[in-house]
Amino acid sequence: MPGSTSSLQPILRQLRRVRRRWNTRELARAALSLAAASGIIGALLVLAALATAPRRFAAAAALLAVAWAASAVTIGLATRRRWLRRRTAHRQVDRHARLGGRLATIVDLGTREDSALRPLLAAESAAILPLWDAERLVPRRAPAGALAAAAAGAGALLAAVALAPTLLPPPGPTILVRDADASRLPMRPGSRTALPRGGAVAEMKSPSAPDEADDSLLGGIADALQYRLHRELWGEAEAVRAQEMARAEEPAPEPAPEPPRADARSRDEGGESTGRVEPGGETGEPEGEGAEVASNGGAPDAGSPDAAGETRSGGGTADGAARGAGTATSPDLYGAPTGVIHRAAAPFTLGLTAKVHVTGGGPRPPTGDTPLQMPDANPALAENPGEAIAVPHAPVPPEFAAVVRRLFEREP
Amino acid sequence: MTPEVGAAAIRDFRDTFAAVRSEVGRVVIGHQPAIEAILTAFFAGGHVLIEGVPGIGKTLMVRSLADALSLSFSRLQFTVDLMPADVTGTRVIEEGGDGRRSFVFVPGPVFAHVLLADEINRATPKTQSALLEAMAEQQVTVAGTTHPLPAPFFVLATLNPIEMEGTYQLPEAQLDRFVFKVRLAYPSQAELERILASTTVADPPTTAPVLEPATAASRALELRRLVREVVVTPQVERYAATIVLLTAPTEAADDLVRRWVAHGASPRGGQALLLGAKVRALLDGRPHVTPDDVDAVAHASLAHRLVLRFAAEADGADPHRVIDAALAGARRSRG
Repeated sequence: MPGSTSSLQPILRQLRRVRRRWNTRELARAALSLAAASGIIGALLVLAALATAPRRFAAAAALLAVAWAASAVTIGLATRRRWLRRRTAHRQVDRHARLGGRLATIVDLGTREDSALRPLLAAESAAILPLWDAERLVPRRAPAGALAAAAAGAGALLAAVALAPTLLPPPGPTILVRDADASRLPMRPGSRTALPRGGAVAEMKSPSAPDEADDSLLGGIADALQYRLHRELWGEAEAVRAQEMARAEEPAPEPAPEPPRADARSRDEGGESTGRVEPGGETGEPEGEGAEVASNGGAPDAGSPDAAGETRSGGGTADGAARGAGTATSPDLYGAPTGVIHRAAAPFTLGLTAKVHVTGGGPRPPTGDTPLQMPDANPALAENPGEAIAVPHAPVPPEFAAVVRRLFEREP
Repeated sequence: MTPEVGAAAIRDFRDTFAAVRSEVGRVVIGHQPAIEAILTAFFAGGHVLIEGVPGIGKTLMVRSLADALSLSFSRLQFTVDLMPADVTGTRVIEEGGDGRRSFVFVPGPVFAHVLLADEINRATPKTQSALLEAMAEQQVTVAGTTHPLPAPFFVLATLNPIEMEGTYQLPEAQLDRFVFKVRLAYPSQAELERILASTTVADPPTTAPVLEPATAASRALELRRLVREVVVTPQVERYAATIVLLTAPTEAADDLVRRWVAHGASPRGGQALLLGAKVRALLDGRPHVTPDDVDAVAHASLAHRLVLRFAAEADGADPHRVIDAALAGARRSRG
């Protein structure tokens, strides 16, 4: 019995060494494989973020997240399968090193000595120790294939990052204004002259705000991720512009049917909060606060009298004429306003509106005779306008003051 | 046994085995797997049932084997009127020189190292039993006196798969006494040509003895003992036991086994499996058995022990498919 124990000790010691080295390599293989998968998926994610619209990016990001999870699970299972466990390591090493079952047999036998051929088996097992030495069996701690894959993944990610500037969207007609830092306004020289007369103030949503189009958690995460990638790779200004452009390209939701109201129109757009230019507002202020924006700050129900009453800050009439602006121009001439959420630090845009961007020209001026002013449906309201609603003023940088002023100038 | 002695013993075993196989192969054209299986059974200490059509070389094979091993050989043609005493021997009255008469035991053909029981299924069950008892006990008892058979004692019984009329099929209990059942296939064109060429000449090839005639029996016994010294781990024993159990229609068995098999292999089948695996290990130069050795002899040692249901016959089932299913199940459980 002592003889068999002493002959077994070096075998068990070497087996422990092999196990350690083998499992370390498997861990390295798993880590490198995961890095490779992450690199490739990250590269695809970056490309998707730079080249696709938010809605498509959300789908792509979800797919890539699933792919990454599947890769991680696959790598984990493969590592588990190759892992040398204490109880079966001798058999796995025996198979791997093609030892003809000698190692498996001598370890499985343990100290059992019931055969005259046992000493021969022990001697043979000792003789083949160099054949399954840890360094021989596991020559490299990091598998070359996994290392190459990880390098390829990292290369793909770097290539995607390097490609980022080439994927900048072409300059568009959108003017972006930020409340907090107007000096960073990314306005392009060409677009300043292309501003049409009139127009609406459309506030750009903050990137961290919930998406109007896709307000699910996943959509919000994808939106924030895409914005962050844009900001890291293109800079904040380009990121804001890209997001606004992408949003402008998205099809606008169908407006709700307008109720036959004489004094107000519903502004409800699928539950979005609405905002409107106050045409007779403080357009002449030197600080550039030419757009006095009213907001109900909520989401009124379509057709609801309350909602209509809250949104009629401009006093629109049934035929579209703004009460305070005469009858020449409809306040919705350039299309329905986009959602407005006033926040102190939220950037907003003075958009040329989607129609301007899409058609490449400004809206046509009204034609024909000026419609007759309709009689006031509720004169009592004019006499008692009620409590004034405080509305935030959007600061406009000085260099844009003229533009904004022109934008909201009314025809006499 | 020191490692050097053990290694020399294994070398001797391999050399002897290869020499006998080669000598038999000089006379018997083809049938190399069958010759190897028969030799494996011989060194495992078991008996072999050979199935083959007439004229295929069964008798020649057995005789050549006996010649190569330098062991005594006898042949017994089983017929329906063969009596047990014709197998085991009987007592006759013999008159001595002084005129006194006494019973003297006259050994039957069973008293040989190598016995060819030709067409064993033609004899009555009673006669078959006489032989099968001798196979199991390695001795015969006649008129209250037990007579040990010469060791090694090796029976090769043949079955003719055709002309089944008037035959007595061997009961399962008797089939179980055979370590292996070997099926002799019909020779190929090339083999048949070589058979015709070598057996129709004036001096057909003969078998030269491999073992010294004086020590052949003891040498054969030594080699048999060496087989039993081969190391088997508990894991391999468990694997062999699992295979045997999975041939029976138990809960753990494959659906196919439960549908087709009425009775699975016996523990004696497990012994045959492990002994055959030990011989395979020695032939590979190893002092230990691996699961692959067990797999290699599973079909030969287990297939003839299975009792199939009518459903199996209706499905045209083959016992070898049952063995395959059992092997697959055992491999899965081994991991």
